[in-house]
Amino acid sequence: MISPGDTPCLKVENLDISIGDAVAVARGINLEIRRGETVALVGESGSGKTVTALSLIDLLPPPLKVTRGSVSICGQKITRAAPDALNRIRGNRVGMIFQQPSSMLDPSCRVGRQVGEALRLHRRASRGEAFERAVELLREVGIPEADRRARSFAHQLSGGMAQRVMIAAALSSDPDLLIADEPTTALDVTVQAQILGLLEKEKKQRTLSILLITHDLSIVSAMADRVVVMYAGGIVEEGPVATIMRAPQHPYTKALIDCSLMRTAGGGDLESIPGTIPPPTRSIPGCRFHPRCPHALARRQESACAREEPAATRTAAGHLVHCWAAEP
Amino acid sequence: MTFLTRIVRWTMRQHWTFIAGLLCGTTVALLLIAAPVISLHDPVAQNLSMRLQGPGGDHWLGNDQLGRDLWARLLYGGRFSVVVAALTLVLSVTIGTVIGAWCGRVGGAIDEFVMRVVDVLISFPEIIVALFLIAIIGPGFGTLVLALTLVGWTPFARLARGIALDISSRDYIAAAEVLGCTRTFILLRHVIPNALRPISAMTFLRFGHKLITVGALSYLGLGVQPPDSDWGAMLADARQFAVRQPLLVFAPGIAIMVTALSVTLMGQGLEIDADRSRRLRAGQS
Repeated sequence: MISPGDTPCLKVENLDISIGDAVAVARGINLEIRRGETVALVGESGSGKTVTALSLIDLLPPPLKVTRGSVSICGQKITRAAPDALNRIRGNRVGMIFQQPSSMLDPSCRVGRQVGEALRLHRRASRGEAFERAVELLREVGIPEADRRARSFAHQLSGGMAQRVMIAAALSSDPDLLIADEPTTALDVTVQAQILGLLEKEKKQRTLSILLITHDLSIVSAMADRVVVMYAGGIVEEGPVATIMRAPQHPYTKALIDCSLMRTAGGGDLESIPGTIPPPTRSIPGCRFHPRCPHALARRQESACAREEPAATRTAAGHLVHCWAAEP
Repeated sequence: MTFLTRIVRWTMRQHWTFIAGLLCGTTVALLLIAAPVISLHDPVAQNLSMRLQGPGGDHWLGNDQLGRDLWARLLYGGRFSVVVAALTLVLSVTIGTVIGAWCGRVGGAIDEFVMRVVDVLISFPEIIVALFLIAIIGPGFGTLVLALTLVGWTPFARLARGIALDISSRDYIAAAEVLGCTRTFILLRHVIPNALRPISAMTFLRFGHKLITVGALSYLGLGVQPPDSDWGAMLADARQFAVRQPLLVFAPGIAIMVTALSVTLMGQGLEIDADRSRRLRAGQS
């Protein structure tokens, strides 16, 4: 018997996701989250972050599908699991919150009832028990007058409130892993901070593991223990947050950090990465980033960059870089 | 806030056509329910000395060709017409919604098959299928309900399927799936409740249609059998006496029209409102 501390909360091995059978959207994703750890998945729009997140709970909308590799949560396999087993893991072991909180709530269902749904399904709670617990949860996530709010409908809540409700619903049956897909992107900056604070608090209280998907690096440095950077469907760099923010190795990570507002706080122009992320339909030989990479451009694409995909190089403890220029 | 005041407030927020239809429809319903109290005569008691008499005295609308009180017959006959129409409608809506929404969620070959069956059933005029069934089983209350339900569920199944497909792509369905909700649970708790409003609008709109179909079948003598009678049968009986006593034809005719119209108005009001809120919601996102 393996104690829960030993099995990683989430383990993704060599995951490939494709549209149909032809177009690869994500390739060779390896990811591991330990208990109580927060991992940030970072990348531009279109880099495959959300698709990866959806594949973790087998919610890919067709024709997207996992073509290779496996996902397990708390040692239980998700890929190719039976629907029953899947339903027991979803909500029970893993919760998920999304970018647009208000559209995630059923417009014809009272908030309290919706928050209590997972309890009714997984804990076989009665209607009354589920509702009572839902009110408690709503209070816990900082909703004022929770018992009154539990009786209101989704359209009566603000975006921040709706996100709190979603968090309450996701945490209702005490999961081990929370997947947060851009949880604060649609919210005001002040509300953003509150929601992040709430996630932080819940994480400590419940020793929750969080997979935080975002493109906002300031959130990453505030919340995450480890960072995984994705570009065009593949992981380009991963490592502890301090190392990556201070000394990024991959040119893409460097460019991302240079583009963020944190760097221009003292004035000066905002940087940008020339070019756009390639669509998944275009296959790029060699390193995916080389057409936009200043490093590869300097070498006039004669190097390995344009020919062969770089393997992972370990530059420091727990710091992996997929780049030809990286030195161990 | 009590339950009653809440209903009143909700009603006042609806479109005026809904309120007009509601008032009119409720009046008809109350009259039909209270038939034993407000009609002074037995609807089947004959009095041949008073046949085809015009309105007057305690026979408010006069008497028919067998000297039966027209007002009493109108009230009791209406009970049959409206109950048959309402019952078939409720059955059609329930069956249609569940089958349609389920097909929309499941998809694939089952969906394809059921929808083709629906196409075939829809392509026959309702009355032909009903005639066919009545020819086999024989006329009567039960046959009428069965026949009309058998053809009546199809438009609802088609509508419910369309709505279910639309709802399936909504984020809150994904959110429910993330929580580990089973298929049936999502269908019953998230898909159908959100489909109810457009479906209820269509239900009201179909009621008038049903009422007229029931009337038509009874007019042909294939509906309710004597001594019971309904508005369609009354129309058929009164045909020969239309010149001598026009009220015999007008009364059931107008009754059908007013009832059908009031319920249709309610449906229209609901639909206008559903449209308005849909546009509002679309504007928000």
